[in-house]
Amino acid sequence: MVAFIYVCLLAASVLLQLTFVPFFSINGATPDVILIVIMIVSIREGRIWGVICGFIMGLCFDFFGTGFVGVSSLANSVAAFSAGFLRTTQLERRLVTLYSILLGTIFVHDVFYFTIQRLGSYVNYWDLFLHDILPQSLYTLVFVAIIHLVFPRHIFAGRNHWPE
Amino acid sequence: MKLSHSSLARKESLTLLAAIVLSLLITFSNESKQIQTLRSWAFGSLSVALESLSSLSRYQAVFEENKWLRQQNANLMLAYSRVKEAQYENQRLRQLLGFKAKSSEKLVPAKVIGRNENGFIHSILLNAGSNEGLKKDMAVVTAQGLVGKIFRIGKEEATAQLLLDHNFRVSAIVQRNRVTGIVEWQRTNQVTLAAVPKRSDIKVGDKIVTSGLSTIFPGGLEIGAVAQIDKKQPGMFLNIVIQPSVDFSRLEEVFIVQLAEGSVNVN
Repeated sequence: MVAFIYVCLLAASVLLQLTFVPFFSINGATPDVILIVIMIVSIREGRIWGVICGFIMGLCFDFFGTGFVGVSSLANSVAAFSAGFLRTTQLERRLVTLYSILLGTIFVHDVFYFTIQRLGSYVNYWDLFLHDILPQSLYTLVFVAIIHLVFPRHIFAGRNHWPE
Repeated sequence: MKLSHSSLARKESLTLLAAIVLSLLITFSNESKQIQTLRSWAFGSLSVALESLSSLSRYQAVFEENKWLRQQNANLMLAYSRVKEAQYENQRLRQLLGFKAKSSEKLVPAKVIGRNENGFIHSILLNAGSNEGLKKDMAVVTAQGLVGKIFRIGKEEATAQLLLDHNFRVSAIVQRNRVTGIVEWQRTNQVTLAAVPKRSDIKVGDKIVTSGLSTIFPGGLEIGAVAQIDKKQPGMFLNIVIQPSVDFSRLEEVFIVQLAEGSVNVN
């Protein structure tokens, strides 16, 4: 049952990312809903499932873009591994630490994604960092905060640390 | 206990390593036939789901759109009669001068059923494909002007690369004085007209259209209007920012231009 819910959630996140989420785009920055779901899977179910889901979902998403296939799967896998840190650490009560790690994870994802997409183009890296990586990471973090507020507080905590 | 922790950590690291290696292998074999086949298969199966989703939201806008279309229809009828007159006159003059007739283009309608906006990648998913006679690199337009070109094609769906995509370039001219340049997307979501010498007479508001010096885009398609000119930047060329005619955030229906075989663009 849990697996079915995750499959639905992941499929819905790809559909949302392709159809609905672009309407929230601000100056080119779009929140990455797939990444958020992958972070949740990794934190709640462990790094192995997180990396597998990240890889598959990244691949699905890449098939619809005009960029390189395999870039999102690489970035998502690395981000899922990084997010898995929160599974074994009881940080949910310390919001600043929790959000710092989540931002770090999103940032790692965006650095990987945009750096590889940039290969072969003449875009200045500093420009890329200021106009793409940083706004996109912060915007995704805003969505993480909204999800954190709307859904149960332990959504970004490992199963071992769920409230009784 | 300690051993099981390290064993889990090893498994996790191996999973990550496998994912990275696989991703890199796929990234470096993007042009292979297998990847292309997989791409079009995934593309086709998901496009059905996306189309049904997008059609739900479209019902709300249908009445408003209908009203707007009726008004547009009336305006276009007036414009059409004037254009027709000009076309007859043009034909007569061309015959007098011995020019070849301009090839006609066919427009294939398509609905936008998905979009991809990620950093400098901008594309839309369309519900028409090779079954409708579409081919790669065909121009995509709306009544407002140029949208982009077909990037990938499936049997019943296609991906169009937008004018806002980082890798998109189109040869263009200033309609008023025929100064040529290259329209490309720059950082901070700006579309610019590049390679225009500083001595050129460009004014804010000048219309930018496709030059026709292309096997993809017919000449005279509206791209946008000059919004800003920076003459102070170093170098030989002007920095011209264009306001695109098409509102890319509201794309719902587009047309794909099918140029007749062996057509020559006469601007």
